[in-house]
Amino acid sequence: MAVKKEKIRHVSKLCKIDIEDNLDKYYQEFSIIMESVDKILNVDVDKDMLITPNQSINRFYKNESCQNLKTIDVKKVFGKLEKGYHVFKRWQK
Amino acid sequence: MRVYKPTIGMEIHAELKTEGKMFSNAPNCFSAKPNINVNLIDIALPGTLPQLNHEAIELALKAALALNCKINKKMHFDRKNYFYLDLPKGYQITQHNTPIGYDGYIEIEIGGKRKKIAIECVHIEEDTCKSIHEDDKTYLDYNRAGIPLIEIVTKPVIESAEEVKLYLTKVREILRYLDVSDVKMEEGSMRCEANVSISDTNKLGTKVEIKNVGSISYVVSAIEYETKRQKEILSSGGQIKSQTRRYVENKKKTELLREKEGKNDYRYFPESDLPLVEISEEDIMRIKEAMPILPDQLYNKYQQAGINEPTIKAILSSRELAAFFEEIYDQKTAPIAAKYLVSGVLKYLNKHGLTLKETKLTAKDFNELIKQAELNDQQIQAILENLLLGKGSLKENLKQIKEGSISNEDEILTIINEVMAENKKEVASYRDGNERVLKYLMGQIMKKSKGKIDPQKAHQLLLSQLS
Amino acid sequence: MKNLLDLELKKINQMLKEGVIMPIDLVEEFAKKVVASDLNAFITLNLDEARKQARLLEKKEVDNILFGIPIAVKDNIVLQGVPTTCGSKILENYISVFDATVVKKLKEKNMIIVGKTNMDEFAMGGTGETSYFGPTKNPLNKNFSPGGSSSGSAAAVAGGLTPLALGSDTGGSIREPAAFCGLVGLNPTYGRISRYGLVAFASSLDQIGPMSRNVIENAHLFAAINGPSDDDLNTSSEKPFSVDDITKKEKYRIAIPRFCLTKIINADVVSVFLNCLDKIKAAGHQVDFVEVPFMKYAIPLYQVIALAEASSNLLRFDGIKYGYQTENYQDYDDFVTKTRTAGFGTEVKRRIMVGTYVLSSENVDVYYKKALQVRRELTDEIKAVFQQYDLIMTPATVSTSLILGKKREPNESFLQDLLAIPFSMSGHPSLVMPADKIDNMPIGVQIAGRYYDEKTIYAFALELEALVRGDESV
Repeated sequence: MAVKKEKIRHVSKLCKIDIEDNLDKYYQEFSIIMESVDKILNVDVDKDMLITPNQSINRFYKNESCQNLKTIDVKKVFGKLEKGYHVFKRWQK
Repeated sequence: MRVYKPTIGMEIHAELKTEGKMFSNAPNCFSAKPNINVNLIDIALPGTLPQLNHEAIELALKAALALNCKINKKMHFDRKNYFYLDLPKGYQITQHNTPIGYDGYIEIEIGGKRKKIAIECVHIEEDTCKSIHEDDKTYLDYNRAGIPLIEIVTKPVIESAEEVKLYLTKVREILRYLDVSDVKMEEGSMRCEANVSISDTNKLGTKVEIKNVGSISYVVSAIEYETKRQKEILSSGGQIKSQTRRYVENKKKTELLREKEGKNDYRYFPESDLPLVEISEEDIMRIKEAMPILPDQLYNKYQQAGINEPTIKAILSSRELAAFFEEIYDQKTAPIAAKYLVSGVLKYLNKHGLTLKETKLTAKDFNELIKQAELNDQQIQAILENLLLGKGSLKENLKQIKEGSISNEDEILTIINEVMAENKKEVASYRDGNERVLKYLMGQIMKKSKGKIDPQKAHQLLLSQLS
Repeated sequence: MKNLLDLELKKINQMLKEGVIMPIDLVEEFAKKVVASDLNAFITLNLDEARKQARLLEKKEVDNILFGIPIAVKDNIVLQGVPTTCGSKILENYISVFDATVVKKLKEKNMIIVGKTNMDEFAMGGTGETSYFGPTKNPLNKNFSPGGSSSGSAAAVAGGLTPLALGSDTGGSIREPAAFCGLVGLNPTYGRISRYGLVAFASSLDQIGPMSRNVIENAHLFAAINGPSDDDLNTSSEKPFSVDDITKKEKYRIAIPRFCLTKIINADVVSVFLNCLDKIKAAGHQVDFVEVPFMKYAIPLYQVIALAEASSNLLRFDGIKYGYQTENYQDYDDFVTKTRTAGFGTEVKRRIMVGTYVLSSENVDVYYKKALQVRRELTDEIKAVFQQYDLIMTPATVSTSLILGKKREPNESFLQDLLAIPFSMSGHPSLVMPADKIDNMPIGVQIAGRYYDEKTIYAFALELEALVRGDESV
């Protein structure tokens, strides 16, 4: 499937990566990878999806809540808190 | 004139009442203090992996069964990917392809007729964290991140605001009865979104989404407003735009939140960090058997036991009260128990703004109390109030009443004679064959004795004195 | 300079037991060696903590063969109080507040973690050159890459800095560097080792595994870190592997996918491989060629599944909670975009975009779902081979080690993993070990086994190790 530049621009917005300055380079490299990816487009398979290799199954068992409820000191992760909250400044004044 | 008919689909999010969160073992409980119930998984630290809360699956299964859903016996979770401040992992773990329940329905009664509201699916997902925007700052509280939710989605089959109201009330009642959720809209443990479109043909019109409305009556008002707004646009030749709107409570109208230009692409795909979950037929049977009787079924049962409608409605209005009633339920004593539950217990609770759990009354005591044949109404009410307040045990209360009661026949006769002397006209009237005054005389006797006489005994003695 | 670290573990263990040396001697030797080294194998050294721990161990009994042994850990495995960068600018200053489950297990064995090793950024790459912290050099020839993405782990072991290292493997990231550095590297059965604490690249493929100088030391390290764990729900409740499980068989039935002879594989690599097979046959084992037709889809399969999962796993790096943050921005969207654009390297960004593209609503069925179906078919084919054979063997890589600093095509970073990917997809365990050298650079072979049957792989690998050495006694 040929990829359009517009499409790549759209994808870059979805994953919040700015490629405007190098659009042509990204476009070219992206297209090369997609050429390889496209090899599975026409593979003839009619099977269920395999999500993980061991497709492990967790038998739902009876009313068991999470064991050993645990919490952490959020401050240790964020460094500082304001009134207990982690703060993000949405714009700079 | 064209007739525009509204078509509405509802999405309900209800927080599940579990001990832990959906995909982490942080506690799931309300905290006014931010960032207290948080662990490594909830803030998406690199290297963390999700856990799986079986209690939440159990509650979701209960809800799905009560909503008459088919059950996906082999299910997996999916990731819904998007960026937002309140989404720590950048994706929400949800169920896109294999919701725990699908193809369900509930019945509502509208205009004397029963109508089935088709439920498309019930799925399990995790809540986002809470964000508060103030000026240029956003305050993030991760307590809510990862709390288990079920989302109940109807098909677009609801035709009026009134139906929405009945539907929401019914779902809320069911979830409350199952004890799977607190369903408090004001606290956010139940949240609603409505998808409203109108059309004058069989083809559905353009959908407008109304997000997070704060109460059932607001949902009704929002839908009424929205229907009107869309009609006006179409009637004047305009076009409905696909939008997300919000309800503004003080203006009683909906306002534009954002245009839905080009659908957000959530890139759903299976969550491979979690195993598949298998639900067996035995699990389904076990849960079905342990499930409490739902309000509809209780209503019929109580009606057959001879309880009047206002009393039934009063009992069913509170899940706690109904559960209490069910605990002591006996068809023979049901009407009398129901009477005291409403006229005594419920009245007391409402007056003091309490829940049953906050009082000292036990079901066992209540059941024993209403079976005390020698007590009169006043005495029962008095003891009931003492038990609610925790003033003495049932045994002590009964003893006190018995000690205070006048059981000596001579004493009772003295009172009867006094009353007869004070009411000569009535005595004469009775003796002339007017039996109706007997009730009046009994009343006077009970009043004089301050209720301390056993009415049956007094009745006997009064008859013998009169003859 | 003493060369304790070059000794066999058995010998070091004996000396520790006899009190001839102390763990601190090993740590100090490492410290000297690493300072003198120009391999760029480590992103962060953990020397203070390692010395402290070595001193503490002096009071303890030497109770297992890994006791007091310095180990290097790939920098996408978290260690409390130490940076975990994943070789990326976006996590340059990120310090973990918890230990990965494997780290806990290493500590239980009283191993000493001496540092975090260099790697391709977020394990995306096959040469180590995508690391924000610069490329790692191959100790055998510093003009060459040690392979990747576990570049620093491979270089640390091959360069004699540590006897053992942990790597991670998504589609060859342990096995390819093991091959290029002449080491033994195992990618265990999917679900053998808890991934808790491994920064996710592709959840359904990622595995942590041991890297070592020889087979038996690899088995010891694997035994120490494998086993079910509550924190990773995909770990298997299968009985954990122990070194005592390794029992030698008289005759192994070994299948060779005919695909291994495809023209894509370098002729020298094929000839080393065939030569190795001759030795195996001569030792009395059965070697048959079989068809595994879906192996030819390995690379597109990997590009779809691994990159799709990666595009989602890397969403959490938005700068809001931890890691690099941009300084000038207008709003939330702008903040995240600028943070990610500056925080991630080119290879990572390209892969995220491809992953996002194949998952987008218009493509998810034609690419992603199709890939999961192809994955099942390939898995079924491999499982079918294992019904008749004990092991499957292939060359480890497509070519010999790569020269550093060459411009590479976007698909090149995937190509070396052509023969490693099929077993990542199916979740079968596979081990790479050296078979020979060409122009003084090592060439490896890959041995895959049935699910949870690492013991048979090790048993055979021990024998092959002796055959390659030319021992008479086997």
